[in-house]
Amino acid sequence: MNTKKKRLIVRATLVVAYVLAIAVVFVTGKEHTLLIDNMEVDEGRIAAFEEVLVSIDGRESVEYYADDRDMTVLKGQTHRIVIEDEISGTKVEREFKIPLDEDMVILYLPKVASGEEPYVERFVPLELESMPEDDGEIDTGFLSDPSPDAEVVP
Amino acid sequence: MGQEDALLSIEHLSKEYYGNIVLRDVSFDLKAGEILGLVGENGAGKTTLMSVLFGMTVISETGGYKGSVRIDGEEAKFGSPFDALDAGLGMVHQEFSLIPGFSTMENIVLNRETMKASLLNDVFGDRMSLLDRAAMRQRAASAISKLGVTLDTDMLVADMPVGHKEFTEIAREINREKTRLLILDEPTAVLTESEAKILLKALRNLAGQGIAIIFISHRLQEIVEIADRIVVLRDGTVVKDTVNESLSIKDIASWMVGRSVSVDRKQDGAGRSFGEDILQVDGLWVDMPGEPVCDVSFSVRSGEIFGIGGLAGQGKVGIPNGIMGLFPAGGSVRYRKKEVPLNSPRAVLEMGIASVSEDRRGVGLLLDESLEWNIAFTAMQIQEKYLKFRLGGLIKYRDEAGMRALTAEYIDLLDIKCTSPKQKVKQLSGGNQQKICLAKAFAMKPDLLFVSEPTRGIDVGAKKLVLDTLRRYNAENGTTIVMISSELDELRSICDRVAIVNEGRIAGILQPSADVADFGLMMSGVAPESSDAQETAHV
Amino acid sequence: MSGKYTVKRFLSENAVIITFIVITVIAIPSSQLSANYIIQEMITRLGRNSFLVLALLLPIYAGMGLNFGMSLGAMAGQVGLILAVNWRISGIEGLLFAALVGTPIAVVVGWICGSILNRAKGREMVTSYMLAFFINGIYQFVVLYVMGMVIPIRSPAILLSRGYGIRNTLNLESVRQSLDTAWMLTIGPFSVPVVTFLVIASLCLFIVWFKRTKLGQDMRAVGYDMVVAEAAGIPVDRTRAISIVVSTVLACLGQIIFLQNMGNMATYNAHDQTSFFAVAAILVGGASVKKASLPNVFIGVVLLHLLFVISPRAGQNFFGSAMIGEYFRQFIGYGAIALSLVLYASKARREAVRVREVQYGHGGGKKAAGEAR
Repeated sequence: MNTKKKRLIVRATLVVAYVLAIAVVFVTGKEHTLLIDNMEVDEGRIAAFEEVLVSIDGRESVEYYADDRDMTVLKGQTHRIVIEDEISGTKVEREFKIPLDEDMVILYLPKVASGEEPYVERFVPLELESMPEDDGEIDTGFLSDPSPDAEVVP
Repeated sequence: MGQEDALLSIEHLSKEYYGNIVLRDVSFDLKAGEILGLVGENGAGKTTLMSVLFGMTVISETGGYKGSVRIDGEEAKFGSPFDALDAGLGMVHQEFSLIPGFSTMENIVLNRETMKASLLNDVFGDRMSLLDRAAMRQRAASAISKLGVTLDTDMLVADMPVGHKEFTEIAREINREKTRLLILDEPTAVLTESEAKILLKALRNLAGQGIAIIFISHRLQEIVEIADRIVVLRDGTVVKDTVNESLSIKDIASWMVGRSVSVDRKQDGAGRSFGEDILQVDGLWVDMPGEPVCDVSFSVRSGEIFGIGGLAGQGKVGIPNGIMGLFPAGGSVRYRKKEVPLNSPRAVLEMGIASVSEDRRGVGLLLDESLEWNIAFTAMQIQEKYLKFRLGGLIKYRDEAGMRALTAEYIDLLDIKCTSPKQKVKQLSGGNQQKICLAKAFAMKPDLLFVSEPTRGIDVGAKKLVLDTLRRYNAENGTTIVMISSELDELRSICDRVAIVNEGRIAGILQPSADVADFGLMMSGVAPESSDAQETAHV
Repeated sequence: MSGKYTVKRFLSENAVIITFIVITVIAIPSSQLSANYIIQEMITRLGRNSFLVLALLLPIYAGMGLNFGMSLGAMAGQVGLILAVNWRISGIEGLLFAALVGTPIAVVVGWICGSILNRAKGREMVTSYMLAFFINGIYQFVVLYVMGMVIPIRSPAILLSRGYGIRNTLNLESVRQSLDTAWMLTIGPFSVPVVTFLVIASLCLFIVWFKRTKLGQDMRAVGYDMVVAEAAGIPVDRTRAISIVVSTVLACLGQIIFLQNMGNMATYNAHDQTSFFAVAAILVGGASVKKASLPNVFIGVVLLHLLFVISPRAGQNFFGSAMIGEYFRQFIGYGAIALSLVLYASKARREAVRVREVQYGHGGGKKAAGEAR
């Protein structure tokens, strides 16, 4: 009886641990695409950086000029961003979270510097939504470039 | 019966299979440390008795038994062999029950290994425990020393001489702490004489330590040598239960085979005449599992009914199977002065030799086919009878009308009970199936016919019919018949000569009228004293 | 005389290995590949394939022959990987996720497979082979229709453009070589995927340990003689089923290790040849249907893949066409399996003859001795 009880406990614990392990690797291993955007916000309300060094999670810094946009892949939810304005020399360090269920978020560098929240927003690739076919106004950056393999989206 | 100090007492035990009585009011006792020699012919009920003792499921599945088995005076009802093991019974079967790739030690403690719990026990259960090999070796060694023999605990069974395997099996049974009663079924059958001597000594050793032993053997010499008491079974009854004092082998042999009713012999060898030797077998060996033939030589005269008898497993059934090419065989077989190619069933059939297999349902019949098909099949395949040819033989038709006529003939001749010739064979009774087998062989119009166990599993009335058919067929067509049977009575009633096979060899050839005890002695591997009975048939 | 006999016996027992060594030794120079290249390839392929081949061992111990049903486990691993890619779980976590999701699936299909094989005793190999085809149908149904229709697929990148079903080729970039590169040790010109080798080594240790457990002992007993094992009270069917379950789970993990090294996955074909190449490898390594050991696994992986690496180049140089070398791969793989099976059968027959001679003799042997009193 005693060993039976003990075994039941051990086995139940292991089942719980197993499920927990799935949850843990799911959360820690989840990848998110982060778009880093250095454009002016709200038609000039916050100006873009002329030249800025950005480092995420202690990786090597990448330099951005005005109107640059880049993409990177991050693993996990909590991240640290350091931006250094090469003109003024100011350095801002902030921490941000990406919600677990977001595949792609956009980070506005000017908002990070100005302290405005939220500076990380959900990004919806336009061509996946009902995109008006003749809408010439849409920014046809690299994201909406027709890819050579039509099936590879985005 | 029912002594106070009896370890095992069997009281008024009866058992029947489907109305067939196999054990009738069997009673005997066994004390601790006593060796009981149990003898009896095939079908005397030894196996059934052991099955009852050991709680084999066949017994309960076929309606249980009457009477009681008491151990230490308490009624024992075993649901399975494992219950019997728990009660302290151990059994060593005739067939080795060992794992060939395991060592002596691993086999002795098989499924009773000493274990140490491991971490994974709590997750996946006790079978994740580690084996404690040192403790296992020690247990094995102590069992071996109890037996009083020397065995290497780490030798693989596959590399062992037969004798060591036997000892390993016995050691496994006595390794169980509780084992108090050991049953050995033909333990010496595969041993050489010197190995058998050591075994008997080991058994006496065990008995000296208080273990009761039931020793079953067809070697009466050994029974007389080792047993304290001898129980003789015949036709399911204990015909003799006596202390082993100044008993002669011949006495036991006659108790074993003796029939109260005298054999019904209709024909007399003197009134029959035979031609020259039609079949000469010389140095035949056959590798048939369970019925190995080692070195058999005999000859059969034309027109004769030649009987081959002997106990089960001694090789008598292997002889026709080997000659017919159904099992790997070697040696020389000459038929009408021509060499019979061995290992080639078709060639043998084409020479005009037919056989009726002992395995009626497996080899002998196409169970799902009609009577017509079954009777005509071999003749059609081998002799191209009952076929019509078109286009110079390129296309063959079955001759349905011919097959029907043939079937009607044999249904009539053999009195086969069936609803129609189209009936499926599996719907017939055992006796009628046996007749179909005979008809199938007869349809080939053979010169020489082997008939194995023609009356096995059929009732008394049908037995007589089958035997009469054989005798009549022999008389009318002059067909030479070699009949193999476990039933000595049968052989003695219709054969002109009877050969007894023991341990893969012909122990001797007797006239059917010879003394019953001589047959019994030959089956036990002892040459009969009255040598005049032997070989007189040759003259 | 006896020396001659042992040489002959050695040759016949190791015929497959020797054939492979001879072919390889002839082919290596003509491939004109550098030793460094070949050794690096061998290191990579040992890491990639050994785990899968090790998955074959337990059913052989249990007497069930070569478990062609291991592709069931491979499919389970692939389902795990598809889901990991779908949810974008990357790196080691992605592999762990695939393993954690794939294992329960492997246990279930392994148990089904084991139960079916228990009803086909004596014909396990061909049954497991056919069973793999059958389960392949179910797998294709799940991946081609259920995924995207019933199971929501988040990542459009892995979906067929019609909106359901997984694409033909799955890019495993997010988990690619994350196990191999977790600790890549550079020794001279060679890079060694240490973690992968550690995983393989721990599986080897597990197998050695397992053989010393009660269950391992029972499995061997069942493998030698089911009837005897049953009579001794060992639960034969259950033991056999467990060996298949363990094999299927290991195949699931092995396939994940294999695919993370490859970096992409042919969704509908990747498992097709998993069992085939694993079986070929273990046979080339000198194992038989009844007997296999850890060294067989590693010798086999090295020999088979050595030939795989050099045969296209040797074909190119010999016949002017790499395709011939490609063709040789298939030819060699199937040839190795056929050769081993034939050699095993003839060996078993020879053994039976030898036993017969010893036991009954042609008018001699033991019984004669017993009779001669």
